[in-house]
Amino acid sequence: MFGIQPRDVSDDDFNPRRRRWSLWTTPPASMPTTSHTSRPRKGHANAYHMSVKFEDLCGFMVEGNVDDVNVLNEVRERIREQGRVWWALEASKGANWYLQPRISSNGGQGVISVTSLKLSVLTNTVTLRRLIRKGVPPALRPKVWLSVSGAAKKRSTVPETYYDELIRATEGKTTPATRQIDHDLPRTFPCHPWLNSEEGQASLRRVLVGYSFRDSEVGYCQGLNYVAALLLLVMKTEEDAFWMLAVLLENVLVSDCYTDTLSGCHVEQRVFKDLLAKKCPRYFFPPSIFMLVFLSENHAVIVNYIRFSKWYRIAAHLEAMGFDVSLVATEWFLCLFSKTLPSETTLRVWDVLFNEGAKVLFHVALAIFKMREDDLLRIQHIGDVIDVLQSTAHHLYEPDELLTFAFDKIGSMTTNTITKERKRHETVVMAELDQRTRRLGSLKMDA
Amino acid sequence: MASRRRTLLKVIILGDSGVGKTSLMNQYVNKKFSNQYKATIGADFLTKEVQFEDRLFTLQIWDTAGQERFQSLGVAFYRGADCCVLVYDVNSMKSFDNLNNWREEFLIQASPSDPDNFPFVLLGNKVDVDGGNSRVVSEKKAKAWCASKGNIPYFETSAKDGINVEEAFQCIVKNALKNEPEEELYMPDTVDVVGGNRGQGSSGCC
Repeated sequence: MFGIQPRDVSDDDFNPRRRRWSLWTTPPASMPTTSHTSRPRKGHANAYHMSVKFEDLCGFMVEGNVDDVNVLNEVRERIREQGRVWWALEASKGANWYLQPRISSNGGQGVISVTSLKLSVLTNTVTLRRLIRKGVPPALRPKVWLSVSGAAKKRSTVPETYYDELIRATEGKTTPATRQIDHDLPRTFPCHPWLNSEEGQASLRRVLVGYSFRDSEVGYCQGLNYVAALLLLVMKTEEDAFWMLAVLLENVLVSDCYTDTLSGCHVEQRVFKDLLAKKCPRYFFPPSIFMLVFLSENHAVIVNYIRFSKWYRIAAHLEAMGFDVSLVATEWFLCLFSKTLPSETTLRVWDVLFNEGAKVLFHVALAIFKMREDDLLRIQHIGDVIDVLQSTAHHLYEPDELLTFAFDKIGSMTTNTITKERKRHETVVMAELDQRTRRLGSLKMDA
Repeated sequence: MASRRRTLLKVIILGDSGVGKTSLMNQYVNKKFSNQYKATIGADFLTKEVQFEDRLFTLQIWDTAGQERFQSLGVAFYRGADCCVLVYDVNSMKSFDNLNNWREEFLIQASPSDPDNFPFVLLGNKVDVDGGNSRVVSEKKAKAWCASKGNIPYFETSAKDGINVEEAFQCIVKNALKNEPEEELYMPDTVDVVGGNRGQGSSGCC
């Protein structure tokens, strides 16, 4: 069973060997001065404020409160239940049913033509989509991820020895990418015992260095260290982690997210900003809006209702404050939430990301804002906005809470719409980046 | 009793990856050093209440990602900065050579109203490493660079041992206030500082 230990405030460096699991009864060494909760928490009011260090579901040593530990225990139980659902389906549909052809919403990998569409394929696709949103059992993640993301297909197009040969070719070579990777290895989740070990860091190094040689335009970009590290923990083998990284950068995510000017990341931020500001589909309004449409001929009433709906107000409020979404979303989009959300919650986001594509990141980002909309409307300072969003995200130990918001309360957005939005912003971003390069050049000339 | 007025001071820390930006910030704010900081992506910030000339300020220190390609993301982070702290590692020539890039990138993206007089402070960090034997950038060289950029204040620091960190940040606060318009700074009858002074006079930077 899960245990907790009081946080020793004087000991910032965690020593994994000092793990003594005991339910703690003594008063805490410190009380957090601020706390942000996204919902009413269970447990004793005092216990909630107690800061503890504990091991999460992926083996990360993290700091949270007693309630986080309780939530995690509930999550762990639900993962077992979800596992039973998957095993039952294997029994009825046959082993590996989810590896069969399906209709993909993830940009071309494993897509079948509409003419060859069979009912069983359609059923499987729908079932799989629903199941994946509820979470892939940890034991099945490597197989399911490789399949639904298209990584398995990608790997099948090259000789089996590809990865080993790639790694052999990189041995002893030093590039700007390898230098940066070496800088970052000890700074990548040092709170995980294996990633903090020589073996873990050597493994992570091979995956990152290998990829930097595969794609010289990306080389290595900070942020990928966190993504690759978490992939390693899930996929178990370096080679599988490598192919997941490859399919992410080459197929799942928007292109140029990690290249030299991070232009893809700039584009995603702009699209996200627009979504936050403009995305007011009917879903956001309570049913009464429809009553208004029918009952009122006074359009101004409706327009005002829409204008002052909470969602619109959040974007306007943040804008007036001078808050730019990139202040939080840079880390979210480049690390795919791995540095922001608790590990199991991140993996649940990735389950859906690999199956449904990069728009999932927008759903999740919007959900984090939406969860705290009332607080955000009250806040007057940029720093407080960041604090609220970050601490909300750090405590989202309940993946279903986030995913329910992300998919049931945000409303749907099609990949086509997002693609159009990206194209629109791409032109502006490229022009701005060009201008920046020119200004830098002229400044150097002056000097 | 008059209410205590606070003013926000925004400070940006820039410099190559691994020079110790996060460590400097944490040493100053939390008086702690750890080998276990995660590499910063995007930006992070910490705040600290500081007292300067009998006024109380909230110092907001922004720590940024050090890899070069992150420079393009600076606009939102740099906006409204009152002082820019440039950091290099005295044991790495490359981190020193890149100071020009960081400074120029900041000036372009933050677009301060008076770029020639915008306050920068330079910190040469990691002076503790190897007892100073692995040092490759001399104090003289660093000071010459500072002189060429309009007499930027310079400090040699160790975030690990806490050397000169407090002094450097006192200077940073002082410089952050230098270019503030008078009316924003001067708040008569509203400042009522409780508690003793923390010895501000010896920053030695200006």
